[in-house]
Amino acid sequence: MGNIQHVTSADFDEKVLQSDKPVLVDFWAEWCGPCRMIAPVLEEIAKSQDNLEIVKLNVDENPEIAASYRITSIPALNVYSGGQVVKQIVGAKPKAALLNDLADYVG
Amino acid sequence: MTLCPTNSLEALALDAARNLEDASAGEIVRWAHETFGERFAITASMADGVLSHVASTAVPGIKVLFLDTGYHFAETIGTRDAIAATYDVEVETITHPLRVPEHEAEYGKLYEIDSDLCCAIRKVWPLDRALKPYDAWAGGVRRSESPSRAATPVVAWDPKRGKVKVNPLATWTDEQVDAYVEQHNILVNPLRELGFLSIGCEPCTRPVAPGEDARAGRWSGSSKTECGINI
Repeated sequence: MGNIQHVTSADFDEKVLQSDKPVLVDFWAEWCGPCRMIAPVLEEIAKSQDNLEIVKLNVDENPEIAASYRITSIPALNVYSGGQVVKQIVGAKPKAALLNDLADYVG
Repeated sequence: MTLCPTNSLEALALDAARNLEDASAGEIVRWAHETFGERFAITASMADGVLSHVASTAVPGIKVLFLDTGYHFAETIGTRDAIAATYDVEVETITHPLRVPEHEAEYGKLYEIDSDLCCAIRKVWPLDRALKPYDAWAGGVRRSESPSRAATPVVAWDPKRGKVKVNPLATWTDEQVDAYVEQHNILVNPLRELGFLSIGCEPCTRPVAPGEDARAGRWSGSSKTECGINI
């Protein structure tokens, strides 16, 4: 049951695409209020289970990864499994709604 | 009028209540800032950013006090973080010295045993302590929120604390709040979309059903309607 790590363009392939379990990437930025709003919720979800790993990627610091996945609005939550995006969630939501969206991955 | 208070702050509050009844929320905040300077702060429950936004527009960089009881929803903590990061305010989080595990080791789940005492310990006492440097403080209380708040003046005398209580949004209807949120793209606690119209601590807050008072979800199943921080 981990804390949320930050990933970058340099380790995105290793930590996200090559991961042997599903990974939720929280695309965020310092200036994005709704991104800040869901951060404690994601931390609670990360702490409460270990089926789905949760990481954060700052879109300002890693614009190429954000662009490659066509992230145009944040917060954007992409679930990756086997190197592919299997789920996309956009916008701040309450914890219950996020858990519902992620039901297939959190177990 | 047949009586005059001898306390000058109290007299000031009563005058302001009359003079500012028709003033805008921003004008009320500006009055408080001009009257009390750094001895004025606002408090916010983080149900939404309306008061913080109104206050920051009137007084950029204004101090916003947030009471973290340790029992808040993660969404409320997130709303605080969002407001702190993106509004022109200085958010100060107020806590009780005992973290929740230490508090529960001493008192058990006090919110179940005696919710008045729990509010008194984790909310009212920390706020009283945090307000010591201030002569005036503001909150987001509105008349339309519940019958118990229907007579809220825009400025009041807080006799328990000997301070002036400012209620800039007192006259705002629910529709005015919604319009402000829409016009200024205000941050709103995500719990609102689940029907949480008034948001307190997680153990003592539930969503409200259609037609219920906005505060019906607070300490539901009991006669308690207020935590005790407001007069």
